[in-house]
Amino acid sequence: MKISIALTMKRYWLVLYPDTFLWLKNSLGIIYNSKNYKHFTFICRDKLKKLCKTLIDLNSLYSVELTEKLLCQQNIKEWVKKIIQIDAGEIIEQDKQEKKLVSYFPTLTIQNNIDHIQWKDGLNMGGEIIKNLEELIFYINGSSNGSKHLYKQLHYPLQTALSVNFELVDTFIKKCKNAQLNKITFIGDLCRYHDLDKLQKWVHSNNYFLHFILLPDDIVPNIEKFKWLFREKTDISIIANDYTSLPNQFDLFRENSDMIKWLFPVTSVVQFEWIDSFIRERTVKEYEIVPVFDGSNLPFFEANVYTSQEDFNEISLSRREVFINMTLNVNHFGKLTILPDKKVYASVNENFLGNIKATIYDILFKEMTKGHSWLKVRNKRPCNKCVYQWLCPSPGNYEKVIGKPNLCHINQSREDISATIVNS
Amino acid sequence: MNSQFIKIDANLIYQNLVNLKQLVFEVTDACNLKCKYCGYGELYEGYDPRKRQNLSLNRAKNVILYLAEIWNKNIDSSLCQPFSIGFYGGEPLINIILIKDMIRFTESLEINRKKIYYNMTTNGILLKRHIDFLVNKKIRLLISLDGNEQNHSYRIDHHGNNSHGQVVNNVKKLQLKYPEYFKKYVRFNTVLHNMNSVESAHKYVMDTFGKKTTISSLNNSGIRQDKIKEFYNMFQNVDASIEKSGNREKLETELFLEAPRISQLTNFIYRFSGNMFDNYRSLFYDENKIETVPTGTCTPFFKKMFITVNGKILPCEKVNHEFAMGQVSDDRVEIDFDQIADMFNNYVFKFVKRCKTCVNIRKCSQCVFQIDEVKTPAPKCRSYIGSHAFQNYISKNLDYLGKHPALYKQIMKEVRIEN
Repeated sequence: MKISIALTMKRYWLVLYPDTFLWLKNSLGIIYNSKNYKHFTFICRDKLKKLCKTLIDLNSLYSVELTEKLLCQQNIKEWVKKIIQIDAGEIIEQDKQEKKLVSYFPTLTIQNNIDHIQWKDGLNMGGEIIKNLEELIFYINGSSNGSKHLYKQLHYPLQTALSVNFELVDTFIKKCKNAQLNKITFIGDLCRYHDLDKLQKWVHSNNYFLHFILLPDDIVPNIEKFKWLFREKTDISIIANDYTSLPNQFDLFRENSDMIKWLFPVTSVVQFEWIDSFIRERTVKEYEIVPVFDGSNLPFFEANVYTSQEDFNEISLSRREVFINMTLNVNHFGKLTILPDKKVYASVNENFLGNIKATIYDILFKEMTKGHSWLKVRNKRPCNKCVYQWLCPSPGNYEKVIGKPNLCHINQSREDISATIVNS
Repeated sequence: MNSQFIKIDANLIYQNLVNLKQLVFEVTDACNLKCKYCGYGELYEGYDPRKRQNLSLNRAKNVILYLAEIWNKNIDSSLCQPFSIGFYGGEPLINIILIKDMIRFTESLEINRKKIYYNMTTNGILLKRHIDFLVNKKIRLLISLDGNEQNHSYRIDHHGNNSHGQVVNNVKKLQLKYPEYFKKYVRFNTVLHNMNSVESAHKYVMDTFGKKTTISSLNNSGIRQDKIKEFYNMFQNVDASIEKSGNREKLETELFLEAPRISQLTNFIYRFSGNMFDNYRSLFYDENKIETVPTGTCTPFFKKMFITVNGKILPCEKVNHEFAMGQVSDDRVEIDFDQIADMFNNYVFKFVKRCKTCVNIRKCSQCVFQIDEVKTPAPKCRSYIGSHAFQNYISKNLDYLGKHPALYKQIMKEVRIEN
């Protein structure tokens, strides 16, 4: 009897599509379709876990055999149904499909990866590392209106008497001429910059895309003097650092309002609401509201910045974007920041990589091989225990400043698993 | 498809020279063999007449000086990139004096922006005489060997004698005297035709020298009209030859990337899986949104620069000499970047209509300079792929993968594709 059942039992191929990610963490699994951004989480134990492990084995080509008997198990039946529902894969009876269905598990290969970069370094021919550099950010000097701490969260002028000679800036940019620089950013108090003439001359003789980040009080008294800033291929961002003066300052920039982006730091809901109504009243076109941690407003962050379960329902990452999360830090990759102390950083929250006079190769090689910024991903606890690990944005400055490994409400301890399933 | 195409400009060509990876010199057009299927022989046209000339040292020096100046201006001295100088012929060892002088000259320049290594394609006839020099300069050799003596029958000297014995003896001497060099710097190349087979050539080179050989079919562009029949009598397809062996599975496993189907599958995975990226930065770009030139032609000097014995500057040794993109003389290098850009745009945009509907446009590798009728007003592209053909291409590769599932992991983990 048993033999006859086995002979007549239907067999199926279940295959997941190449844009589908399947991740397992302890007894929780997630299937994410990066083409239509739909996903579901599931409890993954026993036979279902075995099926999932077969699927993620590269040699299985994202395909697994299912028997009719297995499909009769409620959890597996539901699981397959959900896969079909979100268009993450298909199931075909083997009698109707002679060949095994195959697909690719979305595993990433980067040809010129760290191993290759190190190998080339050993042969003294690693110069192509420069291709990874995209942006330079120079804090050319400090500002009396600046801050000693805010630069660790956002691009914000420093409060310091130090400054960088423009010759050093120019030499550093020249070292990077073979990079494909998208942007060069200057931050500081231009009025008080001792090499302003040289900077101005350089701006006129170069073809780079430029970005200036300034405080209103540093530029308002001499706004006529800075007409040259308003040119093609240049972005100007003004940080509104004093909301009581903002209405007046805003009017002073009205003539060039099309070329200015306003940055509004906010530390509370009250402040956010005030800015929101200001933006509407004055029809501010280009702006960004930036949450700022002031040491005492953690509840504001918890309520407005932290990731919650609902955020994942809005997730819309392509396969390539998931790969980025798995490999690079989108906040820092490709960027170097030079502070007025003439030190070069991949992230201002990490140790410096060298002095402005160091070779560009040494700086880049150090960051790529020993740094903690460009390639910093969510591969540490608690994120590496979470099924949403690679759907989350790269770690940023806020985590560092607040002193937490992530800004997230999801804690996938055992008790939370059931809640996750219910919500998905 | 709704692809947007761009025209190249002088600046892009200049940047290609800044990042140039390979410079190949035709150091002589003379050869001590008269191979039946030689690309400069009786079967082909589109190359300058062979007059047993040698490239002059001054011309070679001028090219290197010209490039070194560009590199010094545009690359920071801490950023050393690999750079290959290749010696090509004719038979390059006939002009060993120039090769020695050029290496001496290049070394004297201390070009610290490029780590230079040397390559040579040789028929092996003069190898014995120059072994010590080649080893001393760590010149990477690609030796032409079509298999056993019978397989090698088209590689004959000017008296019609098979060169096999001489070549094999020379290579064996090299292997015996410098086993480490041989292991690291020597490769073999086999041309497939009707006198050999993939199986016999592979077996011979493996048994005799313990190495794989790269096997390629005869070049089927630039054939003289009156020689087409003769050409196709000699021609043999690599995959068909593997099939004929009756030993496909074993042979393909041994050949791995040298087997066309595995090589095609690798290419398919590289181009279409969406899981392989060249570098970290390329992860940021959605390739469907990147504007490109029509066809798959490399923009001039993106991969290499080829200098003929007459001083013509070409983007590749496979490109007909009539498409020269510059000239080097004994006193200067003449490259008109605007003119090259115009010429390039003119040829590639002849195909723009077809490219707009081609499913493979983002992954195309068809070089316009390899299309025989490119100079006609409306040339046809032989690599055009419509949606039906594309589906077949996908199915074919997935079927093959389904039968050889371990290849996915092997290709993803072990293969590195140099662009």
